[in-house]
Amino acid sequence: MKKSLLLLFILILLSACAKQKVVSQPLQPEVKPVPKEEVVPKEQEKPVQSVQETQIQQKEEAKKASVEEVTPTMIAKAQTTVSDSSSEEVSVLAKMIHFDFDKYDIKKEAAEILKEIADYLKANPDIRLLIEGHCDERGTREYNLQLGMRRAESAKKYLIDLGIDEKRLETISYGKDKPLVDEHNEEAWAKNRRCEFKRIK
Amino acid sequence: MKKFEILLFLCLLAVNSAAYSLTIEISNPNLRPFKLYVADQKAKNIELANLLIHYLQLMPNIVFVDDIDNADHALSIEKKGEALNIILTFTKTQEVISFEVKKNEDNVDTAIKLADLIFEKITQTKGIFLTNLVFSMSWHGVRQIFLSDISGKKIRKLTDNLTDSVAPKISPQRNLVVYTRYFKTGGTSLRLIDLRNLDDIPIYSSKGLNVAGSFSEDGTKIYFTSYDGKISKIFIYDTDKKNLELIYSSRARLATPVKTNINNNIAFVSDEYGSPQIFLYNLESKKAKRLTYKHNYSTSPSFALTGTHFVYVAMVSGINKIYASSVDGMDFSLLTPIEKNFEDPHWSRNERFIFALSKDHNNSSVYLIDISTLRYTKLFTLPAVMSYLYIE
Repeated sequence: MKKSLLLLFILILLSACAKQKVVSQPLQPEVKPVPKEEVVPKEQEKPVQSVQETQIQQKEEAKKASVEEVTPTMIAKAQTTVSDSSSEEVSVLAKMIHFDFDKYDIKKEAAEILKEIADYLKANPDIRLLIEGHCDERGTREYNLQLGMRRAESAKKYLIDLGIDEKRLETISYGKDKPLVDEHNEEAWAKNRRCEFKRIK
Repeated sequence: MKKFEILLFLCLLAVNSAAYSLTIEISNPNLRPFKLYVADQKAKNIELANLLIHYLQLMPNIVFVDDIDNADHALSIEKKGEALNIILTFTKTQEVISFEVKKNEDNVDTAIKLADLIFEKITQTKGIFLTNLVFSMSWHGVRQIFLSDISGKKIRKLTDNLTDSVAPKISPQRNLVVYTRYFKTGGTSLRLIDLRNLDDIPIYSSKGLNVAGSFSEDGTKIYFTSYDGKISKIFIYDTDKKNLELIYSSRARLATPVKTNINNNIAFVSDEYGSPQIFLYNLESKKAKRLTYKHNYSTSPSFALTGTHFVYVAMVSGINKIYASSVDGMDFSLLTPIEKNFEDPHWSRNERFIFALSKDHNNSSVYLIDISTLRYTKLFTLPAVMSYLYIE
């Protein structure tokens, strides 16, 4: 009897403790404090030795800079739009793939378009492709250049995985410099976060 | 161009220029702007006088008042034969400083130098009228590189390339401009323009993206990022030795490597922890220290000459806002508390102002923001989309 009472007492005690434990659970997930001292970025490679590259590529020629003085009137006149070469592209290359905000992973719909493009490239083995990465207007220009480049590289990698020779694919980013739609809403932003495909002539 | 000549022939109780303070005080609404009264101009139709007034009006810490009794300083401009006599009076002490300007062919240049002198006398802070701005802008469908004075009155197109040219940075000595030029077949080239002889030479080209962040303070080095599709790298290009040094590499997105004016440190943007943040990187110890924690999207750092403070762009509710912070994070303030997008903030060389760019439909405006009072002025507007503003 005493043993039973003792057991019952222990059970009640444990139950009470368990309840207390539940009550004291934080309502928000625990947030680890952000380190405020020196951090070595996670993905840095080994300390870089002083790499002296004496052979700098000189593909481009040296030339003279311009000194033309321009006025606001001349500037206004110079803002003409030039027809984009994409209109000349065959329909499959005129297709674009789109991305989520600040992301560069290939979505399901994009994968289907990339499959079509890969099939077209396989049927036309002489064609080389320039993949242009673009961003919406949000964020800053230089950081968006890097984001656009990641988008173009994602598309390139996907095409390589589908069997396209890497040498046939080039990438570039225009960041947010060349919006497709010059509006300022979610619909326009979604259209502008894209990769375009241009035939290298 | 004739040499500019100013004769400062009367200077009573001269202002001690050595007393200029470099203490940065961000967001102090108790600081009031200087009140300037301009007497009826007897030289009203003289372009130089009009230009001088225009330049002084661009400064957010100078307010023009109609009542001399309410002014800290009074300015009068009189014609004196072929010369112009400019008299600045300190209304409280009745100190008088007089400038005589001889006739000159280049009124813009003269007005800029004169405005610098008068600004210094009024505010005890160095003038910034000699600041140069570089930016890119579309020119008949191809983006080119432009150089401008502070008022946008003298704009020069520096490139005439067949492919887009973007992201120019000018050296602190204002004699070199580095920029990125696209190749038609992918890849980019970093090119360097020497403004003294107008040579435009390629310094680094590769597949992928090569973008300069800034020059070093002595103008001999260029910090730039290079991304080949696999690894992001930060290089230093030595403009004297013409060689490259790889200083940092990462699989994260790296952008905007800039001088910090802190010994052996540069700063850059990295999304190492999932979102873009600003890091300080010590070139000797090879260690990075994260500087920004307050926002999920912090980019475009620019450091004050003292190295104690920096400004950056944080995206808050989809709007690009400019913040100023001390490097230790203790002194922190929002500089653009309005619903308007700002980009490319740069600290002026007198530590007092921030230059920034804002787009409004198809127009772009360059603003000057007083970091203490948050007053701002519009320096100029162009009927085009300006991008990648940088100043020195």
